[in-house]
Amino acid sequence: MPELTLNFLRNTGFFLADERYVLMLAIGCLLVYLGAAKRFEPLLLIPIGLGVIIGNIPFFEGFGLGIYEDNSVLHYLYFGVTSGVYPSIVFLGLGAMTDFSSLLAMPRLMLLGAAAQVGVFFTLLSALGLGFLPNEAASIAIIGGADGPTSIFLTAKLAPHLIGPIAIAAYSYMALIPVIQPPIMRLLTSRKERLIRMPNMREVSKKERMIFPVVGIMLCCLTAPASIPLLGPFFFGNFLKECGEAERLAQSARTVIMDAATIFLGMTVGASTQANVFLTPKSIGIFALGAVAFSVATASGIVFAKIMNLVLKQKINPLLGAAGVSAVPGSAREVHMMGQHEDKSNYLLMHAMACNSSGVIGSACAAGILWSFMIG
Amino acid sequence: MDPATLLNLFSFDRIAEQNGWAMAALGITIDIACLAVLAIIISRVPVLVALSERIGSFLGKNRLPVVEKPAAVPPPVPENDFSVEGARRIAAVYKDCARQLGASFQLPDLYRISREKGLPHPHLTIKTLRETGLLVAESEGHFKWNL
Repeated sequence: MPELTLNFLRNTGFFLADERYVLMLAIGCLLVYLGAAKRFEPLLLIPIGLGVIIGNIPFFEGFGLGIYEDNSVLHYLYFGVTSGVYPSIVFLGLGAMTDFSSLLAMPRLMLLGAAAQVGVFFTLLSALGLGFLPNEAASIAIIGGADGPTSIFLTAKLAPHLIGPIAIAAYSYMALIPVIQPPIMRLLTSRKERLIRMPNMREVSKKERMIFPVVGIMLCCLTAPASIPLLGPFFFGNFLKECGEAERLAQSARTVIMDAATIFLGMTVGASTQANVFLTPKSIGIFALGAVAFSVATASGIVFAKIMNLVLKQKINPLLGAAGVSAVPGSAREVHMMGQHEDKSNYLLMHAMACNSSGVIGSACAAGILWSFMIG
Repeated sequence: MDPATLLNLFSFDRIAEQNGWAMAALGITIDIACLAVLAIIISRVPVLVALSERIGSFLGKNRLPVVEKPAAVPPPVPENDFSVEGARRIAAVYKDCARQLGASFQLPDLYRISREKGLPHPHLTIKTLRETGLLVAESEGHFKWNL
Protein backbone atom coordinates (compact mmCIF):
# COMPACT_ATOMS: atom_id res chain seq x y z
CA MET A 1 0.00 0.00 0.00
CA PRO A 2 2.69 2.60 0.84
CA GLU A 3 4.59 1.63 -2.33
CA LEU A 4 1.42 2.03 -4.39
CA THR A 5 0.83 5.44 -2.88
CA LEU A 6 4.42 6.47 -3.51
CA ASN A 7 4.24 5.33 -7.13
CA PHE A 8 1.01 7.27 -7.60
CA LEU A 9 2.55 10.40 -6.08
CA ARG A 10 5.63 10.08 -8.30
CA ASN A 11 3.37 10.18 -11.38
CA THR A 12 1.47 13.28 -10.37
CA GLY A 13 2.12 16.60 -12.05
CA PHE A 14 3.17 18.05 -8.68
CA PHE A 15 6.13 15.67 -8.52
CA LEU A 16 7.11 16.09 -12.16
CA ALA A 17 6.94 19.89 -12.17
CA ASP A 18 9.93 22.15 -12.14
CA GLU A 19 10.33 25.94 -12.23
CA ARG A 20 9.80 26.12 -16.01
CA TYR A 21 6.38 24.52 -15.80
CA VAL A 22 5.42 26.77 -12.91
CA LEU A 23 6.43 29.84 -14.93
CA MET A 24 4.46 28.70 -17.97
CA LEU A 25 1.40 27.99 -15.82
CA ALA A 26 1.73 31.51 -14.43
CA ILE A 27 1.93 32.91 -17.97
CA GLY A 28 -1.19 30.95 -18.88
CA CYS A 29 -3.00 32.39 -15.87
CA LEU A 30 -1.86 35.88 -16.85
CA LEU A 31 -3.27 35.47 -20.35
CA VAL A 32 -6.59 34.23 -18.95
CA TYR A 33 -6.65 37.21 -16.57
CA LEU A 34 -5.94 39.68 -19.39
CA GLY A 35 -8.69 38.15 -21.49
CA ALA A 36 -11.36 37.63 -18.82
CA ALA A 37 -10.78 40.48 -16.36
CA LYS A 38 -9.19 43.17 -18.53
CA ARG A 39 -11.13 42.17 -21.66
CA PHE A 40 -8.05 42.23 -23.93
CA GLU A 41 -9.14 40.18 -26.98
CA PRO A 42 -11.05 37.73 -24.75
CA LEU A 43 -12.17 35.49 -27.62
CA LEU A 44 -8.52 34.73 -28.32
CA LEU A 45 -6.56 35.16 -25.10
CA ILE A 46 -8.92 33.01 -23.02
CA PRO A 47 -8.57 29.89 -25.22
CA ILE A 48 -4.83 30.50 -25.64
CA GLY A 49 -4.31 31.10 -21.91
CA LEU A 50 -6.19 27.96 -20.91
CA GLY A 51 -4.37 26.07 -23.65
CA VAL A 52 -1.03 27.17 -22.16
CA ILE A 53 -2.19 25.86 -18.77
CA ILE A 54 -3.38 22.55 -20.28
CA GLY A 55 -0.22 22.10 -22.34
CA ASN A 56 2.15 22.78 -19.47
CA ILE A 57 0.77 20.35 -16.93
CA PRO A 58 3.68 17.95 -16.52
CA PHE A 59 2.91 14.30 -17.15
CA PHE A 60 4.61 10.97 -17.63
CA GLU A 61 5.59 10.78 -21.26
CA GLY A 62 4.79 7.83 -23.51
CA PHE A 63 1.13 7.46 -22.60
CA GLY A 64 -0.32 9.54 -25.43
CA LEU A 65 -1.20 12.55 -23.27
CA GLY A 66 0.82 15.44 -24.59
CA ILE A 67 0.15 17.51 -27.67
CA TYR A 68 3.33 16.28 -29.34
CA GLU A 69 2.62 12.62 -28.64
CA ASP A 70 0.95 10.52 -31.32
CA ASN A 71 -2.54 9.22 -30.57
CA SER A 72 -3.26 11.91 -27.99
CA VAL A 73 -6.48 13.87 -28.21
CA LEU A 74 -4.62 17.15 -28.18
CA HIS A 75 -2.39 15.93 -30.99
CA TYR A 76 -5.40 15.17 -33.17
CA LEU A 77 -6.92 18.57 -32.40
CA TYR A 78 -3.55 20.20 -33.11
CA PHE A 79 -3.66 18.79 -36.63
CA GLY A 80 -5.99 21.65 -37.53
CA VAL A 81 -3.20 24.09 -36.73
CA THR A 82 -0.28 22.30 -38.37
CA SER A 83 -2.28 21.61 -41.52
CA GLY A 84 -3.67 25.17 -41.72
CA VAL A 85 -7.30 24.03 -41.49
CA TYR A 86 -8.34 26.21 -38.55
CA PRO A 87 -7.00 29.50 -40.00
CA SER A 88 -8.79 28.76 -43.27
CA ILE A 89 -12.07 28.17 -41.44
CA VAL A 90 -11.60 31.35 -39.42
CA PHE A 91 -11.04 33.27 -42.64
CA LEU A 92 -14.24 31.78 -44.07
CA GLY A 93 -16.10 33.22 -41.12
CA LEU A 94 -14.28 36.54 -41.38
CA GLY A 95 -15.30 36.87 -45.01
CA ALA A 96 -18.90 36.05 -44.12
CA MET A 97 -19.00 38.87 -41.58
CA THR A 98 -17.05 41.55 -43.44
CA ASP A 99 -18.91 44.34 -45.18
CA PHE A 100 -16.77 45.75 -47.99
CA SER A 101 -19.23 48.52 -48.91
CA SER A 102 -17.05 51.28 -47.50
CA LEU A 103 -14.01 49.93 -49.34
CA LEU A 104 -15.93 49.60 -52.60
CA ALA A 105 -17.25 53.14 -52.21
CA MET A 106 -13.71 54.49 -51.95
CA PRO A 107 -11.28 52.03 -53.58
CA ARG A 108 -8.23 54.29 -53.08
CA LEU A 109 -8.31 53.37 -49.37
CA MET A 110 -7.17 49.89 -50.40
CA LEU A 111 -3.69 51.32 -50.91
CA LEU A 112 -3.44 52.16 -47.21
CA GLY A 113 -4.04 48.51 -46.32
CA ALA A 114 -1.26 47.59 -48.74
CA ALA A 115 1.10 50.25 -47.39
CA ALA A 116 0.76 48.92 -43.84
CA GLN A 117 2.35 45.66 -45.02
CA VAL A 118 5.68 47.51 -45.17
CA GLY A 119 5.84 46.53 -41.50
CA VAL A 120 5.91 42.86 -42.53
CA PHE A 121 8.86 43.22 -44.88
CA PHE A 122 10.75 45.61 -42.60
CA THR A 123 10.47 43.01 -39.85
CA LEU A 124 11.67 40.35 -42.28
CA LEU A 125 14.88 42.33 -42.75
CA SER A 126 15.23 42.88 -38.99
CA ALA A 127 14.75 39.20 -38.23
CA LEU A 128 17.27 38.15 -40.86
CA GLY A 129 19.73 40.70 -39.50
CA LEU A 130 19.34 39.27 -36.01
CA GLY A 131 20.29 35.81 -37.26
CA PHE A 132 16.94 34.08 -37.60
CA LEU A 133 16.71 31.55 -40.40
CA PRO A 134 14.73 32.72 -43.47
CA ASN A 135 11.71 30.51 -42.64
CA GLU A 136 11.73 31.77 -39.07
CA ALA A 137 12.19 35.37 -40.20
CA ALA A 138 9.19 35.11 -42.55
CA SER A 139 7.03 33.67 -39.76
CA ILE A 140 8.07 36.46 -37.38
CA ALA A 141 7.61 39.10 -40.08
CA ILE A 142 3.96 38.21 -40.66
CA ILE A 143 3.22 39.36 -37.11
CA GLY A 144 3.37 42.81 -38.72
CA GLY A 145 0.26 41.89 -40.66
CA ALA A 146 -1.58 42.02 -37.32
CA ASP A 147 -3.66 39.04 -38.31
CA GLY A 148 -3.67 36.12 -35.88
CA PRO A 149 -4.89 33.34 -38.19
CA THR A 150 -2.51 34.46 -40.93
CA SER A 151 0.43 34.42 -38.50
CA ILE A 152 -0.49 30.96 -37.27
CA PHE A 153 -1.06 29.67 -40.79
CA LEU A 154 2.29 30.83 -42.13
CA THR A 155 4.21 29.78 -39.02
CA ALA A 156 2.64 26.30 -39.14
CA LYS A 157 3.97 25.94 -42.68
CA LEU A 158 7.39 27.52 -42.30
CA ALA A 159 8.49 27.33 -38.66
CA PRO A 160 6.07 25.16 -36.64
CA HIS A 161 8.43 25.11 -33.65
CA LEU A 162 7.78 28.85 -33.21
CA ILE A 163 3.96 28.73 -33.32
CA GLY A 164 3.60 29.27 -29.58
CA PRO A 165 5.66 32.46 -29.14
CA ILE A 166 4.56 33.92 -32.48
CA ALA A 167 0.85 33.34 -31.79
CA ILE A 168 1.09 34.80 -28.31
CA ALA A 169 3.12 37.76 -29.60
CA ALA A 170 0.66 38.40 -32.45
CA TYR A 171 -2.47 38.28 -30.28
CA SER A 172 -0.88 40.17 -27.40
CA TYR A 173 0.14 43.03 -29.64
CA MET A 174 -3.29 43.07 -31.27
CA ALA A 175 -4.70 43.55 -27.80
CA LEU A 176 -2.16 46.33 -27.19
CA ILE A 177 -3.18 48.33 -30.26
CA PRO A 178 -4.71 51.07 -28.02
CA VAL A 179 -1.27 51.47 -26.44
CA ILE A 180 0.97 51.15 -29.51
CA GLN A 181 -0.86 53.15 -32.15
CA PRO A 182 -1.98 56.47 -30.60
CA PRO A 183 1.52 57.84 -29.85
CA ILE A 184 2.66 57.00 -33.38
CA MET A 185 -0.45 58.62 -34.86
CA ARG A 186 0.11 61.78 -32.85
CA LEU A 187 3.81 61.89 -33.70
CA LEU A 188 3.38 61.55 -37.45
CA THR A 189 0.37 63.80 -38.02
CA SER A 190 -0.32 67.47 -37.40
CA ARG A 191 -3.55 68.71 -35.86
CA LYS A 192 -4.55 70.18 -39.20
CA GLU A 193 -4.17 66.79 -40.84
CA ARG A 194 -6.13 65.02 -38.11
CA LEU A 195 -9.00 67.42 -38.73
CA ILE A 196 -9.34 66.46 -42.40
CA ARG A 197 -12.88 65.30 -43.07
CA MET A 198 -13.58 62.44 -45.40
CA PRO A 199 -16.40 62.69 -47.95
CA ASN A 200 -19.62 60.77 -47.40
CA MET A 201 -19.63 57.27 -48.82
CA ARG A 202 -21.77 56.60 -51.88
CA GLU A 203 -24.32 53.81 -51.93
CA VAL A 204 -22.80 50.54 -53.18
CA SER A 205 -25.04 48.23 -55.18
CA LYS A 206 -25.52 44.56 -54.46
CA LYS A 207 -23.96 43.67 -57.83
CA GLU A 208 -20.75 45.46 -56.90
CA ARG A 209 -20.62 43.68 -53.55
CA MET A 210 -21.05 40.37 -55.35
CA ILE A 211 -18.50 41.06 -58.08
CA PHE A 212 -15.79 42.11 -55.60
CA PRO A 213 -15.12 38.70 -53.97
CA VAL A 214 -14.98 37.00 -57.37
CA VAL A 215 -12.50 39.54 -58.74
CA GLY A 216 -10.58 39.44 -55.46
CA ILE A 217 -10.15 35.67 -55.49
CA MET A 218 -8.97 35.64 -59.07
CA LEU A 219 -6.56 38.54 -58.82
CA CYS A 220 -5.01 37.80 -55.43
CA CYS A 221 -4.82 34.04 -55.82
CA LEU A 222 -3.47 34.20 -59.36
CA THR A 223 -0.79 36.63 -58.17
CA ALA A 224 0.17 34.63 -55.08
CA PRO A 225 -1.29 31.10 -55.27
CA ALA A 226 0.14 30.40 -51.82
CA SER A 227 -2.56 32.70 -50.43
CA ILE A 228 -5.34 30.40 -51.72
CA PRO A 229 -5.94 28.63 -48.36
CA LEU A 230 -6.64 32.00 -46.71
CA LEU A 231 -8.08 34.27 -49.38
CA GLY A 232 -10.06 31.53 -51.11
CA PRO A 233 -12.30 30.84 -48.07
CA PHE A 234 -12.27 34.55 -47.19
CA PHE A 235 -13.78 35.69 -50.46
CA PHE A 236 -16.01 32.62 -50.60
CA GLY A 237 -17.48 33.52 -47.22
CA ASN A 238 -17.97 37.09 -48.39
CA PHE A 239 -19.77 35.95 -51.52
CA LEU A 240 -22.06 33.75 -49.42
CA LYS A 241 -22.96 36.85 -47.42
CA GLU A 242 -23.45 39.20 -50.33
CA CYS A 243 -25.34 36.96 -52.78
CA GLY A 244 -28.27 36.80 -50.38
CA GLU A 245 -29.28 33.32 -51.52
CA ALA A 246 -27.15 31.46 -49.01
CA GLU A 247 -27.74 33.52 -45.90
CA ARG A 248 -28.04 30.37 -43.76
CA LEU A 249 -24.60 29.23 -44.87
CA ALA A 250 -23.13 32.68 -44.29
CA GLN A 251 -24.75 32.82 -40.86
CA SER A 252 -23.30 29.41 -39.93
CA ALA A 253 -19.87 30.36 -41.28
CA ARG A 254 -19.63 33.57 -39.23
CA THR A 255 -21.05 32.10 -36.02
CA VAL A 256 -20.82 28.45 -34.99
CA ILE A 257 -18.26 27.27 -37.55
CA MET A 258 -15.86 30.14 -36.96
CA ASP A 259 -16.32 29.98 -33.19
CA ALA A 260 -15.54 26.24 -33.14
CA ALA A 261 -12.37 26.78 -35.15
CA THR A 262 -11.36 29.71 -32.91
CA ILE A 263 -11.83 27.61 -29.77
CA PHE A 264 -9.67 24.72 -30.99
CA LEU A 265 -7.14 27.01 -32.65
CA GLY A 266 -6.58 29.04 -29.50
CA MET A 267 -6.53 26.06 -27.17
CA THR A 268 -4.13 23.94 -29.19
CA VAL A 269 -1.80 26.83 -30.01
CA GLY A 270 -1.65 27.58 -26.31
CA ALA A 271 -1.09 23.92 -25.46
CA SER A 272 1.76 23.75 -27.97
CA THR A 273 3.57 26.57 -26.14
CA GLN A 274 5.91 24.50 -24.05
CA ALA A 275 8.55 25.87 -21.72
CA ASN A 276 11.50 24.62 -23.74
CA VAL A 277 10.32 26.63 -26.78
CA PHE A 278 8.79 29.66 -25.08
CA LEU A 279 11.35 30.40 -22.39
CA THR A 280 14.25 31.01 -24.77
CA PRO A 281 16.16 34.09 -26.00
CA LYS A 282 14.45 33.55 -29.39
CA SER A 283 11.08 34.33 -27.79
CA ILE A 284 12.43 37.60 -26.47
CA GLY A 285 13.62 38.41 -29.98
CA ILE A 286 10.18 37.50 -31.36
CA PHE A 287 8.40 39.76 -28.89
CA ALA A 288 10.77 42.62 -29.62
CA LEU A 289 10.36 42.20 -33.36
CA GLY A 290 6.59 42.01 -32.95
CA ALA A 291 6.59 45.47 -31.39
CA VAL A 292 8.77 46.73 -34.26
CA ALA A 293 6.42 45.14 -36.79
CA PHE A 294 3.30 46.79 -35.39
CA SER A 295 4.95 50.15 -35.02
CA VAL A 296 6.43 50.21 -38.51
CA ALA A 297 3.14 48.99 -40.02
CA THR A 298 1.26 51.84 -38.33
CA ALA A 299 3.86 54.41 -39.35
CA SER A 300 4.09 53.23 -42.95
CA GLY A 301 0.33 53.42 -43.42
CA ILE A 302 0.24 56.99 -42.11
CA VAL A 303 3.26 58.08 -44.17
CA PHE A 304 1.76 56.54 -47.31
CA ALA A 305 -1.45 58.48 -46.77
CA LYS A 306 0.57 61.68 -46.50
CA ILE A 307 2.38 60.81 -49.74
CA MET A 308 -0.97 60.19 -51.45
CA ASN A 309 -2.14 63.62 -50.28
CA LEU A 310 0.69 65.20 -52.28
CA VAL A 311 -1.07 64.21 -55.48
CA LEU A 312 -4.73 63.99 -54.48
CA LYS A 313 -7.15 66.89 -54.76
CA GLN A 314 -9.52 65.34 -52.18
CA LYS A 315 -7.16 64.81 -49.24
CA ILE A 316 -7.25 61.68 -47.13
CA ASN A 317 -7.07 61.97 -43.36
CA PRO A 318 -3.62 60.41 -42.71
CA LEU A 319 -4.89 58.78 -39.51
CA LEU A 320 -6.62 56.27 -41.79
CA GLY A 321 -3.21 54.87 -42.69
CA ALA A 322 -2.99 53.44 -39.16
CA ALA A 323 -6.19 51.51 -39.83
CA GLY A 324 -4.39 49.64 -42.60
CA VAL A 325 -3.00 47.47 -39.79
CA SER A 326 -5.48 44.63 -40.02
CA ALA A 327 -6.26 44.30 -36.30
CA VAL A 328 -10.01 44.40 -36.99
CA PRO A 329 -11.76 46.38 -35.52
CA GLY A 330 -9.27 47.63 -32.91
CA SER A 331 -7.16 49.83 -35.16
CA ALA A 332 -10.23 51.27 -36.92
CA ARG A 333 -11.68 52.14 -33.53
CA GLU A 334 -8.44 53.85 -32.42
CA VAL A 335 -8.34 55.93 -35.62
CA HIS A 336 -11.98 56.94 -35.17
CA MET A 337 -11.41 57.88 -31.52
CA MET A 338 -8.35 59.96 -32.36
CA GLY A 339 -10.32 61.79 -35.03
CA GLN A 340 -13.15 62.34 -32.53
CA HIS A 341 -10.68 63.66 -29.99
CA GLU A 342 -9.79 66.49 -32.36
CA ASP A 343 -13.30 67.07 -33.72
CA LYS A 344 -16.37 65.43 -32.24
CA SER A 345 -18.26 65.67 -35.51
CA ASN A 346 -15.56 63.97 -37.60
CA TYR A 347 -16.70 60.38 -38.20
CA LEU A 348 -13.87 58.30 -39.56
CA LEU A 349 -15.10 54.84 -38.52
CA MET A 350 -16.51 53.67 -41.86
CA HIS A 351 -13.45 54.86 -43.78
CA ALA A 352 -11.19 53.26 -41.17
CA MET A 353 -13.06 49.97 -41.52
CA ALA A 354 -12.42 50.14 -45.27
CA CYS A 355 -8.67 50.36 -44.59
CA ASN A 356 -8.95 47.61 -41.99
CA SER A 357 -10.59 45.19 -44.40
CA SER A 358 -8.08 45.95 -47.11
CA GLY A 359 -5.36 45.28 -44.53
CA VAL A 360 -6.75 41.77 -44.06
CA ILE A 361 -6.43 41.16 -47.80
CA GLY A 362 -2.98 42.75 -47.84
CA SER A 363 -1.64 40.65 -44.96
CA ALA A 364 -2.98 37.41 -46.48
CA CYS A 365 -1.32 38.40 -49.79
CA ALA A 366 1.92 39.11 -47.91
CA ALA A 367 1.72 35.66 -46.30
CA GLY A 368 1.26 34.07 -49.72
CA ILE A 369 4.18 36.04 -51.14
CA LEU A 370 6.49 35.11 -48.25
CA TRP A 371 5.51 31.45 -48.52
CA SER A 372 6.20 31.55 -52.25
CA PHE A 373 9.65 33.00 -51.59
CA MET A 374 10.45 30.32 -49.01
CA ILE A 375 9.32 27.33 -51.04
CA GLY A 376 10.80 28.73 -54.26
CA MET B 1 24.58 44.45 -22.37
CA ASP B 2 27.16 46.85 -23.83
CA PRO B 3 26.51 48.64 -27.12
CA ALA B 4 29.22 46.66 -28.93
CA THR B 5 27.52 43.38 -28.07
CA LEU B 6 24.16 44.79 -29.09
CA LEU B 7 25.57 45.90 -32.43
CA ASN B 8 27.07 42.46 -32.95
CA LEU B 9 23.61 40.93 -32.57
CA PHE B 10 22.53 42.64 -35.76
CA SER B 11 24.32 42.30 -39.07
CA PHE B 12 23.48 43.69 -42.48
CA ASP B 13 25.69 41.00 -44.02
CA ARG B 14 23.28 38.34 -42.79
CA ILE B 15 20.45 40.09 -44.63
CA ALA B 16 22.44 40.16 -47.87
CA GLU B 17 23.48 36.50 -47.47
CA GLN B 18 19.85 35.42 -47.31
CA ASN B 19 18.80 37.67 -50.21
CA GLY B 20 16.72 39.66 -47.73
CA TRP B 21 16.87 43.01 -49.54
CA ALA B 22 15.50 41.53 -52.76
CA MET B 23 12.76 39.60 -50.94
CA ALA B 24 11.65 42.69 -49.03
CA ALA B 25 11.68 45.00 -52.07
CA LEU B 26 9.97 42.53 -54.36
CA GLY B 27 7.50 41.39 -51.74
CA ILE B 28 6.17 44.83 -50.84
CA THR B 29 6.10 45.82 -54.53
CA ILE B 30 3.98 42.79 -55.44
CA ASP B 31 1.67 43.33 -52.45
CA ILE B 32 1.04 47.00 -53.19
CA ALA B 33 0.73 46.37 -56.93
CA CYS B 34 -1.80 43.58 -56.42
CA LEU B 35 -4.02 45.72 -54.22
CA ALA B 36 -3.59 48.73 -56.47
CA VAL B 37 -4.79 46.72 -59.46
CA LEU B 38 -7.69 45.39 -57.38
CA ALA B 39 -8.59 48.97 -56.41
CA ILE B 40 -8.50 50.06 -60.05
CA ILE B 41 -10.69 47.16 -61.13
CA ILE B 42 -13.31 47.72 -58.46
CA SER B 43 -13.35 51.46 -59.21
CA ARG B 44 -14.42 50.55 -62.74
CA VAL B 45 -17.06 48.04 -61.62
CA PRO B 46 -19.86 50.64 -61.21
CA VAL B 47 -19.30 51.70 -64.84
CA LEU B 48 -19.46 48.07 -66.01
CA VAL B 49 -22.56 47.40 -63.92
CA ALA B 50 -24.29 50.49 -65.36
CA LEU B 51 -23.28 49.41 -68.88
CA SER B 52 -24.60 45.89 -68.37
CA GLU B 53 -27.87 47.29 -67.03
CA ARG B 54 -28.22 49.53 -70.08
CA ILE B 55 -27.53 46.60 -72.39
CA GLY B 56 -30.01 44.52 -70.43
CA SER B 57 -32.74 47.16 -70.68
CA PHE B 58 -32.01 47.61 -74.42
CA LEU B 59 -32.34 43.88 -75.00
CA GLY B 60 -35.39 43.84 -72.75
CA LYS B 61 -37.19 46.34 -75.05
CA ASN B 62 -37.07 43.81 -77.91
CA ARG B 63 -38.46 40.94 -75.87
CA LEU B 64 -42.11 39.92 -75.60
CA PRO B 65 -43.65 41.42 -72.50
CA VAL B 66 -43.45 39.09 -69.54
CA VAL B 67 -46.29 39.01 -67.07
CA GLU B 68 -44.66 39.58 -63.74
CA LYS B 69 -45.99 38.42 -60.46
CA PRO B 70 -46.85 41.44 -58.32
CA ALA B 71 -44.11 42.03 -55.76
CA ALA B 72 -45.05 40.97 -52.26
CA VAL B 73 -46.25 44.03 -50.43
CA PRO B 74 -45.39 44.10 -46.75
CA PRO B 75 -48.36 44.62 -44.49
CA PRO B 76 -49.01 48.27 -43.71
CA VAL B 77 -46.87 49.53 -40.85
CA PRO B 78 -48.70 51.81 -38.48
CA GLU B 79 -46.67 54.99 -38.81
CA ASN B 80 -45.81 57.11 -35.80
CA ASP B 81 -47.62 54.73 -33.48
CA PHE B 82 -45.03 53.91 -30.88
CA SER B 83 -47.41 52.99 -28.11
CA VAL B 84 -46.73 49.56 -26.58
CA GLU B 85 -49.33 47.88 -28.82
CA GLY B 86 -48.20 49.87 -31.82
CA ALA B 87 -44.57 48.97 -31.23
CA ARG B 88 -45.51 45.27 -30.97
CA ARG B 89 -47.37 45.45 -34.30
CA ILE B 90 -44.37 47.16 -35.92
CA ALA B 91 -41.97 44.61 -34.46
CA ALA B 92 -44.13 41.77 -35.80
CA VAL B 93 -43.95 43.29 -39.28
CA TYR B 94 -40.18 43.72 -39.07
CA LYS B 95 -39.75 40.18 -37.76
CA ASP B 96 -41.81 38.79 -40.61
CA CYS B 97 -39.92 40.75 -43.25
CA ALA B 98 -36.56 39.78 -41.80
CA ARG B 99 -37.23 36.08 -41.13
CA GLN B 100 -34.42 35.13 -43.53
CA LEU B 101 -31.95 36.52 -41.00
CA GLY B 102 -32.83 33.83 -38.52
CA ALA B 103 -33.27 34.10 -34.77
CA SER B 104 -30.02 35.98 -34.17
CA PHE B 105 -28.89 38.79 -36.42
CA GLN B 106 -26.95 42.02 -36.61
CA LEU B 107 -28.63 45.41 -36.76
CA PRO B 108 -27.01 46.52 -40.04
CA ASP B 109 -28.56 43.44 -41.74
CA LEU B 110 -32.00 44.27 -40.28
CA TYR B 111 -31.63 47.87 -41.40
CA ARG B 112 -30.62 46.79 -44.90
CA ILE B 113 -33.60 44.43 -45.30
CA SER B 114 -36.08 46.97 -43.94
CA ARG B 115 -34.85 49.47 -46.53
CA GLU B 116 -35.04 46.88 -49.31
CA LYS B 117 -38.65 46.08 -48.31
CA GLY B 118 -39.52 49.77 -48.30
CA LEU B 119 -40.47 49.95 -44.63
CA PRO B 120 -40.79 53.56 -43.47
CA HIS B 121 -38.30 55.21 -41.11
CA PRO B 122 -36.23 52.10 -40.47
CA HIS B 123 -33.53 53.85 -38.43
CA LEU B 124 -35.97 55.52 -36.04
CA THR B 125 -38.10 52.36 -35.83
CA ILE B 126 -35.19 50.07 -34.95
CA LYS B 127 -34.01 52.56 -32.34
CA THR B 128 -37.51 52.63 -30.80
CA LEU B 129 -37.81 48.83 -30.86
CA ARG B 130 -34.54 48.63 -28.90
CA GLU B 131 -35.71 51.23 -26.40
CA THR B 132 -39.01 49.41 -25.82
CA GLY B 133 -37.16 46.11 -25.27
CA LEU B 134 -38.73 44.34 -28.24
CA LEU B 135 -35.31 44.05 -29.81
CA VAL B 136 -32.71 42.90 -27.31
CA ALA B 137 -28.98 42.28 -27.44
CA GLU B 138 -28.05 38.62 -27.38
CA SER B 139 -24.30 38.49 -27.68
CA GLU B 140 -21.55 40.72 -29.03
CA GLY B 141 -23.07 42.57 -31.96
CA HIS B 142 -26.07 40.20 -32.28
CA PHE B 143 -29.71 40.88 -31.45
CA LYS B 144 -32.91 38.88 -31.16
CA TRP B 145 -36.64 39.57 -30.98
CA ASN B 146 -38.37 39.72 -27.62
CA LEU B 147 -42.00 39.43 -28.74
